[in-house]
Amino acid sequence: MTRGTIKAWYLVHKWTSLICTAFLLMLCVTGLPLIFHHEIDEWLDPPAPLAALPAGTPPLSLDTILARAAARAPGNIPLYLSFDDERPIVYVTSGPTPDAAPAQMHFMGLDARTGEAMPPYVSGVMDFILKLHTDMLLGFWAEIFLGFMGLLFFAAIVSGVVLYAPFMAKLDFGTLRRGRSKRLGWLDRHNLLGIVTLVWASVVGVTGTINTFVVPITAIWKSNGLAEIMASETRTPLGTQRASVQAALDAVQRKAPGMKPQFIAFPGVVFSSKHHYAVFMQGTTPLTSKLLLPGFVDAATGRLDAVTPMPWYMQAMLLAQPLHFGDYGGLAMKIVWALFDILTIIVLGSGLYLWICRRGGPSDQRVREVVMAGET
Amino acid sequence: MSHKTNRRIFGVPILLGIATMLGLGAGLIGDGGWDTAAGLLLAAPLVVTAWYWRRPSVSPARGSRSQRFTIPA
Repeated sequence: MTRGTIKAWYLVHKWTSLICTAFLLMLCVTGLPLIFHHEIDEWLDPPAPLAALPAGTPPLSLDTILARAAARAPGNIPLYLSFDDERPIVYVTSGPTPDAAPAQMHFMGLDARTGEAMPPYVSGVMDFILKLHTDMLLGFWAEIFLGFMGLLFFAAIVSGVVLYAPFMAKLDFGTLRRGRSKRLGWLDRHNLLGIVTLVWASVVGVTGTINTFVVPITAIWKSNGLAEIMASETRTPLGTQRASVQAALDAVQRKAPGMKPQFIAFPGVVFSSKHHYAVFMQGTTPLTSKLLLPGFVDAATGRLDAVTPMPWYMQAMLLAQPLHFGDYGGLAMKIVWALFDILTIIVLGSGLYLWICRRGGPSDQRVREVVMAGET
Repeated sequence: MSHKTNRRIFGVPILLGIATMLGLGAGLIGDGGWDTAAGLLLAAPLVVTAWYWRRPSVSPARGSRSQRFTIPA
């Protein structure tokens, strides 16, 4: 590598890092408690006990559940219905209109066997941290902005790896030059931690960026695949009389043996067309439970229109979620996630320190530091 | 010391990167044994880092092992 090439990569590394570091530090710091979101929630607000019923008590029809939910939130229409992973609980999200803002939505859990409402969900400190982590409490465009910061972070990682080569040309892996200047010590630590966290930070960074694009990616799916299903039949207008949701679930379930329902999206919401119940089925192994299979039932007539796998970009988007959260491999993985997160904070912090405490002079000085590492 | 080849520079980082990727994948495939394997594979880069981080300085110029330990804390 010529000195000119190294300088170019140095400048890429410097500017991509400088722009994204403050946001990445915020993301890493808020992300740390979020790794243990589930555990902290259970500790702060233990789940309410369920009524003791004989094992094997059958669940109520979803139509009954929805009627109970409607009675508790008058004036609202159902938007989403989802199933608890572990316990016989059905969650119903309702709102005044299908395009209601999340703040206007009403969320409740009901015992699937009795239809009794669970104690109301109280939004706690972890929800606040999650909101901060997602969009800094500033809404959709702030989320997209953080997605772009994730891309800059990835560019900083790539340019950092390129600079690692000339830097380590005369140093053995893991060399920390102690007893020299403090700056040199941190330069070495920055390089060591940067290169060992490389794959983890890239995966979590890129999947985080993908997560910020859920709405636009889903919109592409709606305007392609979903539009096709929508156009496949003539539609009678949706009146107040709707087809049975339980029958819709049963119809989809017959087409997807060995799978269980994860959630149902009602007509007009992000995950459905204007005219369908979209029933999302999930597999029962850790991998297939992430890849959803949707079935579409006409909400006016109850006819099953299609059960089709989602296109690759939707599958990729769904797979990006566990890879970002680190919640798919038990407690050991969460601890590993936390340690990687802390190391990334040190990489970001030491990078900032190296820039603030740079010796005067043009950036050629820093390029020299890279080239001359290990000499003298 | 002479210039090292890219293979020598990136040897250990590539091995640690492969361990990380296999760990991320193993966790997705299954529970139980797969999760344990994922934890161990993902821990590999962390263990290697801890070892180098705590290792006494090996800088040939200064800070040899004996010198380091005579420095009062």
